Amino acid sequence: MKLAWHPFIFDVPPTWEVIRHRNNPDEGQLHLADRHGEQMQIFWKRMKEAPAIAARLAELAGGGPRRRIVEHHGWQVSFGPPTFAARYDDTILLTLVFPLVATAPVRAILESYRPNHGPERHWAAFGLDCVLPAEFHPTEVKAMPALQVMHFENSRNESVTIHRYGMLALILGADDLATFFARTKGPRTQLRRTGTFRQAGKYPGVELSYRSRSGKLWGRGREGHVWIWQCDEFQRLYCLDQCGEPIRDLVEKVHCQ
Amino acid sequence: MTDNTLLFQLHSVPVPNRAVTPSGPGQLSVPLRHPFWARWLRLVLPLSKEKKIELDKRGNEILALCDGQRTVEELIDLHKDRWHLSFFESRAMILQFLRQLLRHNLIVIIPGDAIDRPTEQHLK
Repeated sequence: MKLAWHPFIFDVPPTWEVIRHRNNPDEGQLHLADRHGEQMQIFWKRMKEAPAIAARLAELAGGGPRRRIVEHHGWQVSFGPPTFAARYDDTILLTLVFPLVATAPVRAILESYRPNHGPERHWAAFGLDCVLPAEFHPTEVKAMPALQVMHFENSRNESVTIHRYGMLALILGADDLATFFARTKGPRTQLRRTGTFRQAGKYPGVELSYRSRSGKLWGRGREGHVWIWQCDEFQRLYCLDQCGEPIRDLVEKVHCQ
Repeated sequence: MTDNTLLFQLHSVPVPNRAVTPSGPGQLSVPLRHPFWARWLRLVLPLSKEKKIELDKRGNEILALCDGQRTVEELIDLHKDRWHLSFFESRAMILQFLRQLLRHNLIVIIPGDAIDRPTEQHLK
């Protein structure tokens, strides 16, 4: 399963879930756990100069017996458990802690690392997975049972919001997809049905549009587009709400899981 | 939450309150124990002898699974498979619901190590 957040992309076991996160591109942390407890902690910090990574690892492993630090796939690693790994990449110091995990899976995770930069950024956590232009940053993340929402905005106040719902039989009831979204959007937004589509060529969905209200009295509202599809394979409902200049092939950049 | 706390939580067993009786469709009745002085108060005030609680269909389904044998982890897994949820999604829902059941005295939670559950050795 892909895990992509501000500065990194990793492939992690599918049973690992994010249980703690910080939404700051310059300094933050992300913790992953499964039913047996915490499996991986990721810390990142923007630093102007390369730090002494070996000293940082020694500090992390402090108190315990002296351990050897080896290089693996660009990482400085002190194998455990607990295993500590760190690397300085593109002004970001990344530090990983694996409290329980054996050496072989740790190696695979370290090898799967890719930096998350370029004109498009990958965002994959809490069951959501999408690729967006780099100018969009997450401003709101909600991870609740059977409902995950990520809201992205750019400097021009254009937004992309992805909703992922579970327990479909309960939340949909007798409603169709468009009615369901209209209910969640509220009565103040007038939605127009503009067509149907198939996400990833297989999941049927409906396409809607609306005009958002402007914050200013004389300002013009923005055109919004909504794509809603039901992913039967994973029993999830996805709503992709984009407000502002259209982004090319946006709906195909959301991956169901 | 530490890993030990998580495991302790998962291995605990919700046991239904035997005094609870069904009192209608989806409705349960929990007998109330009033303090001594309340007997006198009952002469002037209409104090109820029981508390009625109504659960929806999903609530009744989960309560029925609390048979004193299944652990919290097993309940989470059943709910997870039933609704295609992730483990932590299901865990959040089940723990929240068990907390409600506990608050209304519909169940008690027995720590995993304390309960005398039939093990494979017993069954042999």
